Amino acid sequence: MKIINQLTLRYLKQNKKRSILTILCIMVSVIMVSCVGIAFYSGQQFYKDYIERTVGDYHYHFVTDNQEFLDTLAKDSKIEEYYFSSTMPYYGDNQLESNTFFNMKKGDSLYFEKENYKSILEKGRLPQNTKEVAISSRYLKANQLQKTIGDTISFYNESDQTTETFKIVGIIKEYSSKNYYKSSFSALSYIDCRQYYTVYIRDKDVSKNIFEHKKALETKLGEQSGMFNSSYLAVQNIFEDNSHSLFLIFYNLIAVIVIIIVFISIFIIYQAFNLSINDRIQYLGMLSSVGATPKQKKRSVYFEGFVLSLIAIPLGLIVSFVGLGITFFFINHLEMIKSLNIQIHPQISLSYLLIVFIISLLTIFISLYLPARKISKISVIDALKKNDEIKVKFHKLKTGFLSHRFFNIYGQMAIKNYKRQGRRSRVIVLSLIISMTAFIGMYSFGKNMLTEMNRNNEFVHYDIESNFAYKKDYYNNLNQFLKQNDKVDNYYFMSNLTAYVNIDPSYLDIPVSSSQDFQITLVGLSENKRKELFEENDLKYNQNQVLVYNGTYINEEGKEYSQRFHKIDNQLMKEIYIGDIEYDENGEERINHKVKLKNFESLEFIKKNDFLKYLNINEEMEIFFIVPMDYIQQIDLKYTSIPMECHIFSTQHQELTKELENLNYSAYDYAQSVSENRQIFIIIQIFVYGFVCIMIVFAMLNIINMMSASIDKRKRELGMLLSVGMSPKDISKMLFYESFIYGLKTLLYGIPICIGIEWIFYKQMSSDTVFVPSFMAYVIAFVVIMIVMFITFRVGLMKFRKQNIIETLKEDM
Amino acid sequence: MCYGYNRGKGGKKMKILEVKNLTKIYGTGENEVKALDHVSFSVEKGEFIAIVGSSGSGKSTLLHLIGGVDKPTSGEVIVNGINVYQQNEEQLAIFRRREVGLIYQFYNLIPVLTVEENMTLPVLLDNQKVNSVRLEELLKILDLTNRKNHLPKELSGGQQQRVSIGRALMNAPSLVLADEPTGNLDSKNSKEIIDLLKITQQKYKQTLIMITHDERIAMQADRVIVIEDGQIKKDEVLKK
Repeated sequence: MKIINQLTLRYLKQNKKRSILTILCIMVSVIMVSCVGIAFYSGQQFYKDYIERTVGDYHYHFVTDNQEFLDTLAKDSKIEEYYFSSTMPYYGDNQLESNTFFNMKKGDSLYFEKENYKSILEKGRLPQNTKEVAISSRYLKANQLQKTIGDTISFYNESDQTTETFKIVGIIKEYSSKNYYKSSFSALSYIDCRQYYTVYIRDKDVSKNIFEHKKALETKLGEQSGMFNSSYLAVQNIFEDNSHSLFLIFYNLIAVIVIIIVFISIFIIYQAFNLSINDRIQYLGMLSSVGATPKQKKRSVYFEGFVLSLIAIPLGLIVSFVGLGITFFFINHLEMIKSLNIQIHPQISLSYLLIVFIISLLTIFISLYLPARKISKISVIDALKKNDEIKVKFHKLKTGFLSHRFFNIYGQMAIKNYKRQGRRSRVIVLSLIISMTAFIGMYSFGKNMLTEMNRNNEFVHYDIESNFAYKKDYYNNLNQFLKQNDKVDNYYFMSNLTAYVNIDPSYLDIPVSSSQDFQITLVGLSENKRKELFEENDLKYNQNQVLVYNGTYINEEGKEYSQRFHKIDNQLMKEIYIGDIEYDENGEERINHKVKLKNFESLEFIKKNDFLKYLNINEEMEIFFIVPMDYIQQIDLKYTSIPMECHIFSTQHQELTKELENLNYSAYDYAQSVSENRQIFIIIQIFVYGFVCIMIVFAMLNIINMMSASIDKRKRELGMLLSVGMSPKDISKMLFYESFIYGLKTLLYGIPICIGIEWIFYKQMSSDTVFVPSFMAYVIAFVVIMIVMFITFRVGLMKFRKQNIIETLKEDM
Repeated sequence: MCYGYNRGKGGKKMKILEVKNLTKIYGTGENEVKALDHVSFSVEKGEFIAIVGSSGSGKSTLLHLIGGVDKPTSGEVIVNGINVYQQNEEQLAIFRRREVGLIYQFYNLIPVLTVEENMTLPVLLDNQKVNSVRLEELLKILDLTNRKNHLPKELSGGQQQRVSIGRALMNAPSLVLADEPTGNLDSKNSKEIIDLLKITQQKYKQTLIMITHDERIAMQADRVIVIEDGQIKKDEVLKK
């Protein structure tokens, strides 16, 4: 066996080009399998860090006031650590003045350490007992309290209905929570476990035993008040039953992706080894003629696979890490990720690394099975004569009447050359179709996602949204703040209310059963926005005029009416009122008080425009009356609040949002959310593009490998063509036609498949738009295929061109 | 030595080679070509047989079938008592390794192995230790001692053919089969090769069957077999 292995190694060294191509094919397969695992594991670790940062690193928690439970926890050897917290509502010493309301966070020192509250400390230190407090500077300023470190301060505890006095030991920044797991607070104190507390527990044994242990603690506690930090456990692959099935779906998806990669890899690596075996079939025939057994020949093939794997697998892993490292570097610099203060790094678990090795080796050896079998079965004489050519029957090589009519000799020869490749040409076309499908699929996926994202953003055209229940002071203060703030480019207030009107049916075009109350939408708008509507509709601005949208109407039977009203004046409505709903203690509606509103003095129609889109007008159902804001402000409701929105335009939306939050105004940075969604989209695209590019490279390698081998075999024939008078330019022309045939065949099969895939993506996105295939992508795909095929032919011919004709004709092997 | 072969009926030692009704047909139906048509003959140990015939007469096919590198359509080949085509693939390979030495017109050397490695290939495939005395002797006879670490591409045609002869003789096979060994050589080298084959044949009492177009070479053999259209037309003993 030694001589066979030595022979194999020397052959691999001698035929570097073929060996490198085979190594590259294996590498790409390893890269694809390992990238899936590395990306997933790295994402998992990133998500774990994210949960630890936002939710906590505990396994489960209990909310209780049970004092004996504290002893139980202290004696439990299965617990690694535990810590306490609670959040209590307090008011200033004035008791129940709404503007002195705040949350006080209480915890033990381990909790303060976990939450890194030292980072919000401006002066002094964190509390160490229940009589100490660290208070926010914003609270002191907002309530005009001249207090400092060392002073005492009293607060009213709403839960206990008692006044508590604390010593101020620290000044902190106002803590504003970005997620619903944690509450915002203005003060920190030490926890008193004699009151209700939340205890967070981490077990030593991080496994499914956590579930048993928690149940046991619940039994000791005597209540089922334990809750798992489910996402944190799931991200560490600890599931109870099939909870967090999203993670399990993820794992199944990964398995499916890996299986698909393995199948494609086997297909392509098989081609690579098949070519390598074909190249040395004559030598293996010689070995056979001097007595190499079929087993020895097979082992030679497997040894080749083993040697190339030894090189390719580690290289593939290294390239995966480096490639993902570079990708993550760019991802870590995206605003959205930077703001989390967590970074993603390429990591892989030992078990997945082992899986990568095993899958790669299995893939390679499955790919080797058929070539090894072929070489052991081929007869010595066939191997020596290199009779391994794909045999195509004569009648399949005939070119039809049309090709004789329309193609010259070069075209006809190109058709015959294509046909005689037989299975090999089908493999090449299949590789091209895979590449084309991957490219078109990726293009379509990106296009549809972008369309969906833009569609979701259609109804929002501002940067920041602030929602509140209308109160005169609040509204005026906010208005004043926005007017004076130089970060604000523009803003307006809006309020949508449901009202009921008694419309005179003679004004209506749409059918009505009788004089009845219609439901309408009253839209209160700031005057700056209403002025725009007047201008867009070529109307003279009138502050008291109500603008009415007179759009098309479609009834329940589907009949369309071009307008709702055929005329409009101040006699349109007999009555307009709004419902003031009184709720009982259980939150159920008790009485709907009818509050009459002022009738409209002046009304005017407006046409459809972009702004109405932002009001989410559903053309089939609603009637809109756009009124001045002071009309809304004059509505006096006793039980129901009037919802108000402020839409703010600002290029410095992030800073402005923080300012609004610091002043206790609600603020949602919509522009930031859109930006983050786009960044998530970019991240997804990076991975999808990257993965698909690797697949395309994989397929192209296969094609280059096969085509260069094909040209090698045809060198003698091409030499003969030159010797009978074909010029090198004519040969290039013939090869160009062959490239064209490959491209055309790929399109013929590929286009229906790609359109099918695009259709599936289109349906998934549930878009209202008409389905249009991505024609530009098909054109690009065809051009790329032609270029790749032609370059492959030209590169293959380069070596051939250097020889003279007679050397080429003489060449036996 | 026990090779685990099928030694045929009775296990008696026969003539070194017996060919019985050997037939080889290529293709099917209209495309059928009968390369060999019920050929039968036998060879005694130590004979030098020349096989002659025109192009396409079936000479090479006959040689390949005797050497176990091709499969007959029907008929038997018995070498040193071994019924060649009653063996499985593994046994056939070992047969080629130990019982037969093939010399081709185009040398068929392994380009990545040195002269010494090419010559000792059948021994190495057998996982046996190389008989260094025999190797040195062959290298001396074939005038390759100074070239033993060279690759085939560094040798002339004549030298390559000598390596091929050395490989064929290394394991002291029952039969040496040469398919136009001088077909690719000039007259000087051709004479040298034929002389070498005759020397080794006589020295090692080798049975040599050679295909040749050259009448002068054929006349140097003990017996000439003429093949035409796949059949033996003449089988003439030249020397007793």
